[in-house]
This record gives sequence, structure tokens and C-alpha cells, in this order.
Amino acid sequence: MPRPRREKPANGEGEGGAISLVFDLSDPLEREAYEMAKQLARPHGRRKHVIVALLYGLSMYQKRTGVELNTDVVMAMALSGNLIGEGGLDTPERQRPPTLHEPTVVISSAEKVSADEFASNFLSSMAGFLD
Amino acid sequence: MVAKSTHSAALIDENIISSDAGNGWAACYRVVSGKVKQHGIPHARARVTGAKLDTDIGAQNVAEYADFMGQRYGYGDGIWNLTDAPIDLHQNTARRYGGNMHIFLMLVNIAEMNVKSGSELTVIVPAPPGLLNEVGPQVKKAILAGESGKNDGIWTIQLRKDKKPRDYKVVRVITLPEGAGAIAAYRFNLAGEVVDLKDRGGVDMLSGRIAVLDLGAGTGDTYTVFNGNLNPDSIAHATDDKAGVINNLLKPILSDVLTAVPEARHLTTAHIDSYLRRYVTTPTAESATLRIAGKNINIERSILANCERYAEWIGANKIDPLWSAGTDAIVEAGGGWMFIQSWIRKWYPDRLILSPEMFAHTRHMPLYDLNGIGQLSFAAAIMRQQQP
Repeated sequence: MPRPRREKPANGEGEGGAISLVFDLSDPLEREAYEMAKQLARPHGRRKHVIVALLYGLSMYQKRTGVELNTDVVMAMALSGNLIGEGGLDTPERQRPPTLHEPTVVISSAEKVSADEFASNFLSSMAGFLD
Repeated sequence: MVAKSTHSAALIDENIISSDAGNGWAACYRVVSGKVKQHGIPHARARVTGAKLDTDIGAQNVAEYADFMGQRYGYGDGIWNLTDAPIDLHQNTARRYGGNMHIFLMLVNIAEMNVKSGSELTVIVPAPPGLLNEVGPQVKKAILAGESGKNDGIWTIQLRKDKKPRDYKVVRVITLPEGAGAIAAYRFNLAGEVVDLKDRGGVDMLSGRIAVLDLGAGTGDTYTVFNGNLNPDSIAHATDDKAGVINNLLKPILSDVLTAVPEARHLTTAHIDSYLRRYVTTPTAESATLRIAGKNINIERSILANCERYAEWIGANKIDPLWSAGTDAIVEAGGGWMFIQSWIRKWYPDRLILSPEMFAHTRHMPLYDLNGIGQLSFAAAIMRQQQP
């Protein structure tokens, strides 16, 4: 009886925990990446740590910023330098929400006072609250 | 950004207490030897017994508590997990000003600052500007009435660590609109001296039309000051009780948590507030991981998403109308800014928004302490003005 053929899961859906990488050595970019992979191959097992750390970092970035990552986003951020920031409670660069509309012309007060005048006015203004 | 005078003799004594019993964080401040001393606790309490098990089986959980008007109340973050008693929040209502809990939290902080029993105190109490006309007189009347109601201003409190009760006599109550302390924090130093805040063009950054945007736990207050003069029209409608952290962050995050763990019905906004404070102190995925009702959950994405939504709402509903009205600068005040500042700065890069880290004399003041510390600067400035 022929064994039922096992279907290969679609890309990104496998659960086996293994990923194999084949570099296209005719592509200069992949060639360079391959050289780095060889350099990191010793001591044994450390290369995996680097790849795991890189992917874990991306996962943390996604969690922290809420930006859902895909390869295009990762490449764009890597090129624009947004992946290497100052850390902390930072937010992704994004445009102002469409709900925020500033007027094109605003009225601005031309009359300005000095720090001392401001202080005097402010204390007088608040004096009514004291008693 | 340089103090006007080199003379910085302390004008305010240790018995002037600046209180900021806000809806989220209740704190008191005083100046001792020229330095600000403070103590703060979350705005929540619960009835406790304070009983200890008579056993030597090991360490027992201990929560801070205080005895006040015949009742023992636990307070501080340690209380959430130690009592089944209902947590008393009493937030966002005009009736809380001058009420039992308002005075309790103020006295706990005064005692925790180790103000000597028997001291005669002047207390500065802020209230939301839109409510000040209504609650100002009730705050003064209630505090000056004293515990006995005989207008002696005497209050008694005993902390867990105290061997005997402490008595304080409040001799004067000054009520101020919230946000006024923040302006004073920028304008004056603790000696009451004027601090220059010149921009690159040599113009004072507080001059012209400025708006205080005080984002507290309960309310968001906005009012305008023109060249230092309070605009009375704006103060009457300054308070928005939907604009604070409770409605815009704590409730939505609580809702997210309850969606993930529906059985966690014991949680309140006070619990979420403690998680949020922990996360802001250490913004890592680990500090946003909680164990609730037997489940481990991570609320980091909820925190960040709700912070951004809050920033959008404040931008659209508070900040944009201010720019449209010709506001020259916005003055940041209140802990709510901590959660939205990074977005607001990106969205308004060409606008003047004053924040504490911009100036040497305010750099050490957290946004949530700005009103409380600024009220001391205000008191010092008033005294300096009244000097012959």
C-alpha cells in the first residue's frame, strides 16, 4: 500500500523547528552574507545564537512598537536606520494622524512681556485665590 | 534660564505643606533646609484590620495602614493583594474635595514626611480650575473644621509605625487651580525668584498667550494665561472630566485585560494604575507581564496602543484647538503627559511645548510632581513679593 504523501506546509507555516538556508553565491549581497555566516560558524553552535538574537530582536521591536513586521518593512527600516535607535519607550516614526489638522494661518499674539512682568501679572491674577 | 537674583534665602518654612491629592497620585511636599521633601501614595485605600497572626511560621505580608477617625485603612501598592475589602477610590467627583478620603490621604502623606506632631500647618490644596469656585470653599471649610467639626483645625492620624497618634493643627488653607503650580514651577525657583526663560529670539517663552494643559488621572484641565494674566473666561470651562488617564488609559487597558482574562473581575483601575507605573519605570516586556487569576498575560501592546490613542485624542481635541486659537506655547503639567509626550513631540515639531526637562531648575521634577512642587515656588514668590 502506498504511503500517503505528506504535504509540505506552506512557507511560514511549518512547526518542525528547522530552517535551511541556501545562499545564491552569484548574488554579491548573498555572497557577503554567506561569508559572514562562515565566519560566525566557529565555535560550533554560536552562529545559531546570532540568528536567534536577530530574530528575537525583531520580535521585541514588533511587540514594543505595535508595527507588524514583514520583510519589506524590515528591509525599509534597516535601510532608513530605524531599527538601530536609542531604545526605551520609543515610538515608530509615522505621520500625524489624519484627525490632527492644524490651520494654515494662526493668530499669534504680538504683544509680549518680560519675565518680571509676567511674574507680577501672574501673582496678582492668583491673589484672589489666597483667602 | 538664570535665576534673577543670587539671593536664595528660604522664605517658606517646613510647616507650609503643598498638597496634591489628585485622582491618581496623592502627594505632599514641603521645603526642609532649602530642599523639597515629599511623599506620595496611590489615590486608593481599603479597610483593613492590621491584625497579625500569632505564629512563627514565617514572614507575614505587611501593608501600610493608618488609623483615621475610628477606622483603619490600608494604603499603598502593597494593599491590592492583601485584602478582600472593597478598594475605596472616590475619584472624579466634586464631592471628594474636602471629603474624608481627600483629607485622609493628605494627612497620611504629612505624617509619612515625618512632620512633627503638634505642628501648626498652612496647606495649599489644588482643585480642578473648572470646579474651584464650587469646591474651594468646601475644601477650606472642611479642613479648617477639624476632626471634631468645632473649627479648631485639629486632625489626628496614627501610622502603623507610630507609637502614638499624631495631631496636626491646620491654621490656613490656600486653594489654587490645578496648573497654577505648574506655571509657577517654570516661572519661579524655590526661593520665589523669577527665572528667565528666553527663547532663541530673546523673547520670554511664557509671554503672550500660553495654555496650561494639565493631564491628571481624573481630569484634563486647559486654561489660558495671557502675559501672566489669568483668563477668567477660560477657567470656568477649563476642566474636562473625560480627558484624564483613568478614562483614556486605565479603563481601556482594564477592558483589554478583562477580555483576555474574563474571570479577573476583582481588578480595578487602581490595579491597572500600579501596573502602568511599573511599566513606565521600566519599559520592558517583562515589566508588562502579569499573573492574573492564574494566567500569565503581557499588556505591553495594550499599553502602547492605548497611549497612542490617548495622544491622538489629546492632539485632536485639546492641542489643535489651542493652536487654532492663537496659543503661542503650551505648558505641560500632570502625569498624563508621560504617556503621550513622545507622540505629541513628533506631531508638533515646530511648536513650543514647555516641559520640565527643558530647564535646569525643573529638570529634576517629574511631570506628576510639577503642580505640587510649583505650589511651593508660588508660595515663596508671594512671600517675596510681600517683603518690604
